[in-house]
Amino acid sequence: MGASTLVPVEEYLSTSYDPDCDYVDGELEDHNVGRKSHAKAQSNLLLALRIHYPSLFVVVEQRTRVSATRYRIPDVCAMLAEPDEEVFTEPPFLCIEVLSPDDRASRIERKIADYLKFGVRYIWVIDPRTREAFIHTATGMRAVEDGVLRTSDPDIAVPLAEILGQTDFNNRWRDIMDAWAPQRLFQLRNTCPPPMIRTAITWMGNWKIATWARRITASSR
Amino acid sequence: MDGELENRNVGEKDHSKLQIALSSYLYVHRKRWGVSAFVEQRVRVSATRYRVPDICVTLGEPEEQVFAGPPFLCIEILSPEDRAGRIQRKIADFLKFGVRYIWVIEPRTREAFIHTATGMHAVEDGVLRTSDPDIAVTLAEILA
Repeated sequence: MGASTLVPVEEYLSTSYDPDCDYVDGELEDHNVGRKSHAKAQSNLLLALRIHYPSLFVVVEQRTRVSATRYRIPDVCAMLAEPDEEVFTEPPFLCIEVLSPDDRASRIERKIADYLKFGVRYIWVIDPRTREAFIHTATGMRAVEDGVLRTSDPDIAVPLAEILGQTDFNNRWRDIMDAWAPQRLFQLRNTCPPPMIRTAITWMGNWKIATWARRITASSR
Repeated sequence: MDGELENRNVGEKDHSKLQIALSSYLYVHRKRWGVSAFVEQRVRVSATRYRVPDICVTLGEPEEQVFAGPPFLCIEILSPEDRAGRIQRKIADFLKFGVRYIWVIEPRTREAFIHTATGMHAVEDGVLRTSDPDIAVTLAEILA
């Protein structure tokens, strides 16, 4: 935090900054955003969480009031249910920070301390440059060594490789979808296999369509 | 670090000043707390990783030249150039190795953070502490 004129909280709340800033005891703290690796990790996290865990309410760049004089904007945050308020005042279940090469250690330490004190259950810190990740909870921190970011209750598991694009997430997801696309299943059914297998394929196709519909509904909330 | 050399951000006045002030303070009180303080000491945190904390504090004095057991306390003094990823990795290494307390101090903003195996918090009352032994260092005193 550099020395600057203090901004009243009312002014911060009624102003749109581009990009948005954290508000820390009257000072505005810039976000290091705008780099591709940051944007890519951020959007892949949002997609992965929304697609695989549709019951979560997942958003990016959400203002969150962590104390009377501090507002933080996690890169991604996940709530167990959708809050009614525009600026969150309750701790998210999970806050995710994607590091940029310019992120100073002190800024991230301060942010993590704020989240933990506020009651955030899980904080994932991801460094796209070194492909490392760290998980902070109220009971300690650890480096991710098995390549999977996790939480408990609810159990979330997101492979780091999916987020950082070791295999491009969108392409991979498209491949999976293609392989299991209902029209493929119906084509297979039309090759006239035995009746029981035909019925099973029809059920799989219908189940696939229903799953898609559920996911699309959940992700467009 | 797994065969790679990782540069440390040292050589700045604020960093050296605080390093000297803090190590002197710990040295002066070493008998009272039953500890030894070391500056820039190599510590083998795993088979493939050696770390050099700015200051480390052990209970008693280890025999070895390069420490192979976890110090009681490791202290990192931040420089403006210190990047978040490097410090996160270092803290994770220390905790996994069994270091009981890690103090991270930012001289520029006069902030400090304490990491233990059971969580981390910002120092809000201006006093860096440990338990068993009860070490207490007032930030204002060492940052004067």
